Amino acid sequence: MDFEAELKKFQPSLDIEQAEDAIYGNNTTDVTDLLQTILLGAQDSGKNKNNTIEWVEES
Amino acid sequence: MNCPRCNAKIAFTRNQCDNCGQDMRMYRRIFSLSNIYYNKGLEQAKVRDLSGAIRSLCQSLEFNKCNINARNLLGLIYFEEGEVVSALSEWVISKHFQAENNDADSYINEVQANPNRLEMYNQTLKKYNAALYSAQHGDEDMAIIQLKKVVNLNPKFIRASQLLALLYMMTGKRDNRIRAKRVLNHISRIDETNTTTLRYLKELSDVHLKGEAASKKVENDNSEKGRKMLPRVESDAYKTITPYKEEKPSVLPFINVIVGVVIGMALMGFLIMPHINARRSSNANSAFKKYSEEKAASDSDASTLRNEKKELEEKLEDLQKENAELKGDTSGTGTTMKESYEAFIAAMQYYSDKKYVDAAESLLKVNKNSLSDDAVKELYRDIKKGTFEEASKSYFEEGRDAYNGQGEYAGNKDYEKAVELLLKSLGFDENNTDAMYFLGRCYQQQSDISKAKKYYNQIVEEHPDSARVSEAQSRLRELGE
Repeated sequence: MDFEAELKKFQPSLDIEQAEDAIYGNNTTDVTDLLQTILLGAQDSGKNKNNTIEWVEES
Repeated sequence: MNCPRCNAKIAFTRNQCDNCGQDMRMYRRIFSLSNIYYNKGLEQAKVRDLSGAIRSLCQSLEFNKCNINARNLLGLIYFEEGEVVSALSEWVISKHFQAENNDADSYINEVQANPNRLEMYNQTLKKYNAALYSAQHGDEDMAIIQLKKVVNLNPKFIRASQLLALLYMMTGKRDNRIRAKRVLNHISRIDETNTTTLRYLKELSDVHLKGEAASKKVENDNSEKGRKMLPRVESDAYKTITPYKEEKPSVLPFINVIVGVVIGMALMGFLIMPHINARRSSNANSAFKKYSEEKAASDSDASTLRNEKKELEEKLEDLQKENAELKGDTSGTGTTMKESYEAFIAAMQYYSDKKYVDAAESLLKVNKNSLSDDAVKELYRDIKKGTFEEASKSYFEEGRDAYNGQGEYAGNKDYEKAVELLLKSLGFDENNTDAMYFLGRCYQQQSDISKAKKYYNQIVEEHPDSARVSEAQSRLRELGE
């Protein structure tokens, strides 16, 4: 066993005073958020597509 | 179920939100997955597969961050593993998503209700961080000491126990490996599937705690009875065959030994010898101090003994004196009590016979202090009063005859005899100015001017009413005063 490597795996623990940072740092994005973003993106792109002015080649 | 778009409450079976028209089919599937992972996590937590439960619950929350049950359970598992901050974070986030009717509320309150306990948790975390820092900077001994404290304070703190076990293993000592195994066994009962714990335990597979081998054997026997298995083969029965290699003689071990001895001697010289010298010096100081104290005490004793001796000598002297007095000897006059009384009786006899001079002579031999009775003392005073003046006068007259060459000394002036008789006269009456005058005359005749002046001056100064004053003054003028 590589003890030094094992030792490096241990990370300092947050103090109770630092709990606030842990809460704010928590990534609360879930799949529902992603889905909602995707759906909203799809809707926006649909709208944009309708408003796009197609290129007209000049003769 | 809440609509993720408008947050309106809708039935789980509905395909569309009644409020905003959001298609709920996809969301329903996602929520179902979240619940599946939650259920899996719950099952794992029930059989103390805490690491697996954490993974499942995190996945559940990745699908639905608002899964309150999953988040609360995750907090509980963190708390069980000693990760207080992570547990509190999960509960706080849970409360954020659902403020009412949330179990997280009671969990938070329970932790915060006891400030001492909360402080204890905080201290364990700080000590763990300090120990980790020490370990990562090469101070393993300090790290072990601190981690021991941490594990004592919070025996469920898995990470601290794992680090302690790792540090014990790093020392390579057999005792420490046994300790490491004990620690790991303890935390493996809290989280049975923690891969780190299991890995460390595998490293310590050669270490057997007391009673462990026996129980395993029984277990194996039972399992063997239950089902027929192939004969068990010891893990170290087959070893990798390596080509034979003869060991070459090396001088390195000898060099190592010599270096070790040199280092040992250097250590002894730099570390141990000063300590020994300091101890010797300290011992010598304390011995000297003790000797000084003893000497001071003996000096004091000697001084006390000297004082006591002096007191005893004084007491002895007093007692001897008292004894002598009781026996009849008086130290002052050399006259015994008996002799005093005999002389006093003789004086009384002479006094009654009107031989006043003889009576006075006898009375001189009496030691007044040896007369104990007041009546005798009174009698002594009376006889003295009646005889001394007469004796003084008698001796003066005889002395004057010796000076003038008259009477008994007719035609033969004898100044020395005169002085002797006149001094006797003064002895009986110190105010006899006649005797003083003739003493002055005798000394003047003998050319002893200073003594002559002394007696003349005594008459002039101490007895100015005396009839001899004018004569004394005249003689003083003669002598140049």
